[in-house]
Amino acid sequence: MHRVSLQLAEWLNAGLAFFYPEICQLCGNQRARPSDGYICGTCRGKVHWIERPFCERCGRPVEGAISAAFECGTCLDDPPNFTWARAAATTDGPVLEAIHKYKYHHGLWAEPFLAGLLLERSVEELKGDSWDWFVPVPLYPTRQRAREFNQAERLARRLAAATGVPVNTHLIQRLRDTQTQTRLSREERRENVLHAFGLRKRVRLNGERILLIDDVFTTGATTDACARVLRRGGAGDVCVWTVARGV
Amino acid sequence: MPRPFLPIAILYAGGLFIGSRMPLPLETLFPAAAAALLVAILIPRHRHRALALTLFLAGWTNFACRTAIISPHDLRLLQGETTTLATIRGTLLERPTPRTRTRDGQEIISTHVRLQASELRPHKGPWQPAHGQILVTTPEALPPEYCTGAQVEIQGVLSLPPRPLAPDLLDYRAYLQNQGIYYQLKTESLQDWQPPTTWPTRPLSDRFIHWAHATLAHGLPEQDEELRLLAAMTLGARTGLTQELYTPFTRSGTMHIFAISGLHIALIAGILTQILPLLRVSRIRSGLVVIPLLWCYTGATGWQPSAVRATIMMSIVVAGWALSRPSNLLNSLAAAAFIILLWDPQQLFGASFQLSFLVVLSIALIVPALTRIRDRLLRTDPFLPPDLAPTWRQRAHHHLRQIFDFSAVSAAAWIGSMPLTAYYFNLYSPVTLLANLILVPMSSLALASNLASLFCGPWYPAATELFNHSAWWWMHCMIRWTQWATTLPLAYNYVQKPGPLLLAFYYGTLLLWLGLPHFVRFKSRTKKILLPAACSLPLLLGGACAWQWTANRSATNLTIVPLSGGHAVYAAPSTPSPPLLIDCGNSNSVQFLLEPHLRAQGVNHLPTLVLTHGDLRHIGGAELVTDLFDINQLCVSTVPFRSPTYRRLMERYKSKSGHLRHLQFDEPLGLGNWQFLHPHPEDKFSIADENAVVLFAEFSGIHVLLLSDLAPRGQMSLLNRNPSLRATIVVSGLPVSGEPLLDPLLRSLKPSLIVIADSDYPANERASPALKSRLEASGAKVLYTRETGAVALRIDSKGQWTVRQ
Repeated sequence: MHRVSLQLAEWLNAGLAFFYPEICQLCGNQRARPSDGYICGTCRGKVHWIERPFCERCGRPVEGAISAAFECGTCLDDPPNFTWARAAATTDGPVLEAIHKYKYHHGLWAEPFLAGLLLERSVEELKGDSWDWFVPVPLYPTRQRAREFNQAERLARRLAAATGVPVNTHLIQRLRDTQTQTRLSREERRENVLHAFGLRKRVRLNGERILLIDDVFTTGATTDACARVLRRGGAGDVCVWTVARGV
Repeated sequence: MPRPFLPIAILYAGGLFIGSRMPLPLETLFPAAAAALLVAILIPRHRHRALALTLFLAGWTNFACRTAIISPHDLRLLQGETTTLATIRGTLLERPTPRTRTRDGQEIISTHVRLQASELRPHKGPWQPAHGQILVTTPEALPPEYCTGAQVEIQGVLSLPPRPLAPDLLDYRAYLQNQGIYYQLKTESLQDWQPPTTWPTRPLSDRFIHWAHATLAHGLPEQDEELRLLAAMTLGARTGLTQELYTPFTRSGTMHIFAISGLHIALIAGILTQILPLLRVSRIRSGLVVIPLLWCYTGATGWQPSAVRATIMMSIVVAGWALSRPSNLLNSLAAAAFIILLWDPQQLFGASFQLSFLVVLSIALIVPALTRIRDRLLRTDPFLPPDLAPTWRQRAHHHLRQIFDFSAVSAAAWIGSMPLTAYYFNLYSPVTLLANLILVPMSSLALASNLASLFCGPWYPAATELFNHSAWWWMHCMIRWTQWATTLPLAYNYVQKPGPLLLAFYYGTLLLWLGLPHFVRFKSRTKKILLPAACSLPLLLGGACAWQWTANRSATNLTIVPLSGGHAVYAAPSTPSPPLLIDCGNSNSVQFLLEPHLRAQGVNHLPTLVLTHGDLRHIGGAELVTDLFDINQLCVSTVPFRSPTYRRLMERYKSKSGHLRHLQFDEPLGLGNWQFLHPHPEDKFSIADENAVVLFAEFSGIHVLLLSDLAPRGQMSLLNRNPSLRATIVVSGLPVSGEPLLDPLLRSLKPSLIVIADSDYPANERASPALKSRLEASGAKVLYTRETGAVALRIDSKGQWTVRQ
């Protein structure tokens, strides 16, 4: 029965491919399947993965041949509220383009690609640890309705499916609709999200280990604000995984 | 494959095109298509080529299936080309649609409806099975009980649809044949309709349209122009649209807003796909709601080709949105074309289909190129991230981008539709760009108001009324804006229909330069061969067009148009001589025949009108012609005529100094090659036809004589004054008394071609058998306009003349 349904799905996909050509949505040259997020192998090859050496705290990669663990100057001067943050790739090239199409052009088709990046780098690492919840960074309700979805939540659910850790969307909420952060400096971002998040009513935390999930980590202001709220609410360890981060 | 439907649609449409030009029997096409399919299945090595051939043959076969005579009871076998009084039984295929036109200042309604014939009874004959579609016309509106599916029995005159009465006018027969209709049944009144014993239930679409009409009129004081146009725009209902009403929209190239198209469908889909997610409906469920609603709307508004095209494309986009799959504009367009042509192959040859698809194709090809220009023009400092630019600049760029994008779409649509607009409507409208820039946003607002009104209709009448007033106001603005736009200098021009060579040149160039880089990524070696070819083909076609244009300019064209008992001659000599119109028929003839014909010749302004005599059937519409074509000079003989129209016209032109010219023998005429031969001032004839103006001209050695309705005494006078007169081509009407071209005149003229401008109605304007046998005996080729319709003569610079009927 399962084989029949798989066969049927394959036929359906083949039929749909006539109407929705299986072609890379970034370069338009090569074949790319829906399961690849419509991004071809060549474009995928242009992804800049984040490799060591990077800051053990915020995950910012640095140039050079540093083999020992270290923390960057920013984290030492102004330690963030999360324990550590990791990202799969840098926010440029195909990743940046895919994120833009995903978030701002309702391009849900790009999700398998972005989730794939996250899963490829995080699953092995996360399986070794024990986590109580994956918590996606929330969107303000009106923005979520306008965007139709919360990209962080969708990514978190995919990661949860791969690791078996439950997703909890009832811990924190966005209290006000902050302006978009794409045009803000580091300080402005921090100010922008300072009181933007809050713990939901009747939420009591008791040293739980929480992994915050988001799509992009730029200065870390958003995830830091969320981590602060969670830590103040009683969470034990708050860490961060994102698909991409700025360098 | 980036656009899998594109080669499929091209191959299939290619098959349809060849099928229309080279009809083959189905016994040949079916096995050929099946064999190609078998090869594709059995021999993987040749699969691609065999599949391509299968698609091509599928198009060819489908076209043959739809047009070939298959049933032994096909009307084409039963009826042939005869015209008979017959009674038909059958089923109405659509809701009867009344059409309004203005004649002599009065609105006349006639109803057209398609009927699927099942039985035919010729006059005094028995009933026999019949198969085929018939267009039934009735000169009044039908009661609303007559709806789709009604079984009716209708009596009337069954005939082939008429051919065009003049060259380059709409070929109604071909137009209907493209829709699978080969006959028309004309009834005199509703009395010719035998109502069915039981009325069918009115289809939902009919009831929706009826309800929607009432809802859109709710709260508005009267059924005025604005309301009729709103109904046409929102519901595709052309009832009540007269030519006067939509002419400004046609001239300004904004008529597309009255076709249910992408604008309508996108607006509805956009509103729904925005609202449903806000109500926490998932994408899949939203898609399941939106797509059927779009199809309901398209069905209710009459399955217009542009609406079906837009709905297929929008269904693909919405389904892609629901299934999280990205769609491709060109692929969706090709898919829509393929599906439509699979369903109805003859749409390929319809103006609506061609315009709709070419416009979207142009937008898909041209807009990206224009967007690149926009990005270059609005580029900021490359070393400064755009986010760091001042806010005012960011906002200004944002608005400029929006204006540029909208203008780019408008320009692309205009570029893509320009030759086809000239081909089908003889119009070249540069004002289109400006008109659409304002009109499309206004029409979106009017449409949105109407949709909101339909939504509020049943449960919130106050809001319905408010939205109706809003829509009315926007439509009022649209009408005023369009009327103003057409008054701008060089806003629009009537042009001659472009030939196939020019069309091929235009679209070939467009496709090669804009389309090819889109579709094909050549290897460098192929590029070396293909690029020069791509460059030389437009040059070659352009050269051929230029040659054809030069040849046309050096030729003289004469058109003799029969007009309900009278006739007009339009003479367009080789440049630099000015064109000339001789007579014009009565006002109805001007409105329905002469004006469309002259517009089709690209005539915007006529310097001179010659009136041969006072017969109303020749000059009754002269006042209208002078208004329509801004005539500078009216030429008449010195003989006074008694007809009130003639005298009124004389009075009008006498008041304009230099505009009325009396033809004199001793003065140069200023009419190029034309000479004035009759009436002489010494002639004192009492009958109008005896005083008809006779003109003579020589073009490249070919002598042309225009006799108007010259009566026998006038003919003899002409012969006596010009005993050595010779003419290669002679054009004559029928005088009220006596015959045209008496034997002595005929012997003197020795013509090679005689054109007798006679008509079916009134009966005394038909050439008699005696006249026919006398003229045949002269040895000249004789054409009767009653049989041929308008006659177009072309005299080239080498003195060769040809006739086009």
